[in-house]
Amino acid sequence: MSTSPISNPKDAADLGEKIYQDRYKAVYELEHPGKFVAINVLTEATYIADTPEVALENAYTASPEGIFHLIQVGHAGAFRVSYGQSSSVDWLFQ
Amino acid sequence: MQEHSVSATAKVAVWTGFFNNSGSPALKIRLSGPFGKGVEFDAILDTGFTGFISMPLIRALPLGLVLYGTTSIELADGSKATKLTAKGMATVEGEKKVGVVILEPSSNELLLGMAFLRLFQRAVFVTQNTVLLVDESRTPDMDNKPELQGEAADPSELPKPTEP
Repeated sequence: MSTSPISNPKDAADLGEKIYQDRYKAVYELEHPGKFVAINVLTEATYIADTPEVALENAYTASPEGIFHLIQVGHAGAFRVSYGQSSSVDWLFQ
Repeated sequence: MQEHSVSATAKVAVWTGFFNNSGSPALKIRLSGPFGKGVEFDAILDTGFTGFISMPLIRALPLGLVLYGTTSIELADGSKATKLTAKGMATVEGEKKVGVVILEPSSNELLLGMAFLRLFQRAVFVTQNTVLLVDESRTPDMDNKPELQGEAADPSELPKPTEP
């Protein structure tokens, strides 16, 4: 049975953000502004596409056992939502 | 590039939505994972949401959606939040599209965002008592205004310039 260093969703998200900051952000913000990047947090491989659907599907096809963190290059989040602060307080990520 | 359309039926030109109890424009959709027929939901049309579908995590469990992982979303106040993502297929009037579903642990509403409209190629028209989602290639402007169809308009029908 395989083991993973990631034990909860917050770990996966934090690791994905760290991999992006450390390895890809500087180059991608110059070369791929606005594109979507799916990062396999287990292998640090990235999959870039114009849409989140294609980025994640390409990543999933290449590595069905991967755990992927989705980022939009140059943006604080991959998606924007119109609702307020209360929705950001999730028991799952505390 | 992989095309995520799995539609096999003819396109219905206009989908008719409705207003939900809180007065928000809404649409009935069927959402499914890789197994089973899925479940029908009343979903709110939210053009302030840039994604495909956002739904309560607890209501996604019976659907068996394939988990992709996580993502960060940007809230209206500029703050960030982390969410789970999954692969889901939405069906409306026989048309099917696969997209990224955001799973919300703290919400009880299902939202359809701009990526939903982009993938299904629909324009939203909301009046006082009507919610319509029109095939982008058949918007009223294109049907009724020849000048927008790339044809020369009858000059007599164009507004006359006003003298200063």
